[in-house]
Amino acid sequence: MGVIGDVLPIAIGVAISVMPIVAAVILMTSVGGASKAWAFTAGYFVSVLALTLIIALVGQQADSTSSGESSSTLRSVVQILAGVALLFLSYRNFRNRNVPESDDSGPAWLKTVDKVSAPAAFGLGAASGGANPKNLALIPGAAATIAGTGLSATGIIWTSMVFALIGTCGVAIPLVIPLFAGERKDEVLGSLRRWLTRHSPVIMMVLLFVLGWNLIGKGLTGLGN
Amino acid sequence: MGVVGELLPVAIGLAMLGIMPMIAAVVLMSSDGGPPKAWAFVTGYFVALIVVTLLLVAAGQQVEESHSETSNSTGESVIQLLLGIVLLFLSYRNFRKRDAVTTDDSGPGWLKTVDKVSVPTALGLGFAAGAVNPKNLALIPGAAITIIGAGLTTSGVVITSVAFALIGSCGLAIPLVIPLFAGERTDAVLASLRQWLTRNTAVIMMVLLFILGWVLIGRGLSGLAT
Repeated sequence: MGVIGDVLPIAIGVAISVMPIVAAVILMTSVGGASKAWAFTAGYFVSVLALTLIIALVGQQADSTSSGESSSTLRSVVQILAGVALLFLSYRNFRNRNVPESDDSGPAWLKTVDKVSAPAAFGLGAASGGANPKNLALIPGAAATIAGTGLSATGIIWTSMVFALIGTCGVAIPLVIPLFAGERKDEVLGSLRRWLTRHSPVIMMVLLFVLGWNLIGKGLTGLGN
Repeated sequence: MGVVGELLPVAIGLAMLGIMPMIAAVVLMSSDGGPPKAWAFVTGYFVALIVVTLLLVAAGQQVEESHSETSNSTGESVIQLLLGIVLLFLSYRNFRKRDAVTTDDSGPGWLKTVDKVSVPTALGLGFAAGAVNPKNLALIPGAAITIIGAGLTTSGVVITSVAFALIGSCGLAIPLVIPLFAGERTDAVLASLRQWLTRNTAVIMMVLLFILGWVLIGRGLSGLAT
């Protein structure tokens, strides 16, 4: 439970991925789309889990072969670099802050996402989760924390699963909307999509800015000890 | 340096949460003879952050002395958890009014008259904006707990609190330095900043409070587990 607490902010950061959430919304609203939306979400979950597990297990190996002190310094440096990368991504979103207001449709791949098959939706989900600059900057920090707690291999797997589950909560929101909204679900999904697309740069800018400083702070704390 | 690292996310959050005060600083900067008032306002805000932080640290240290070690750290973790939940609730409130703000670009009533005040009043307003603010009051205790936990000397506590308050006032200070960069375009830049901030207040607050809420909940949980 202690480790989960440590990686919780990062997991929430992985969960808030506006464009993948919009993709899941679009899949949910297309004909026969619910199963594709589930495939997309499953792909997202699997790729986040795989990345976390691989980095955590590699990190644990590296920890056991090198001395404790040099690996914790390395971990702090990696955290600071990842934090700086997040601040850079935040700045890019700040530069874009006024663009999407004129165009509510989002990036090009979103427009055709409802045409794909279920396996392709799984692949797209995996790409959105694992080949996403934000997640690539966030996940190593979480994996390093998981590796540094001295858990057994089973413990690492369980913790990574919980981390990936929390990280998938965002894209899973559209999946559960029919349960709450019933007949109004198309309306709710539509307004969610418009709202997310319109505010995407602001949401991502704030998210990346805070998480960037959070990682830099962790790195500095590590170096200061 | 280690403590300041731990305080960073909270301090940055504090700096970004002050959107309404930041808009007030923008309004002051763009009014006639406004820069001294804007500086007074920001100074008041900065002093308020130091005072609140130091008061909470002092109060916390009193409590600490009269209790045992373990019950303290459990108490601190529970407080962080509860504050995290408060922040999530505040985030939800901003989510509820996410579309209301978009239609009205002017902000709350007191903002419209803020440029009419004198310099001392601006100082007082800044102090009030820093000290009497539910979001600040939900965030600063978490920072105070971290400062207490670091076991610093008195001067260390003061220096750390000042550094914390400085970072926490950064957002507010942005309008003050805009004339240095924008030169003749100052008024245009200030106006577009004001418009953008007002329009996006609810979304920025919502995301910020959501993440900071989870940061505090995470700290509380890892504190309880160890």
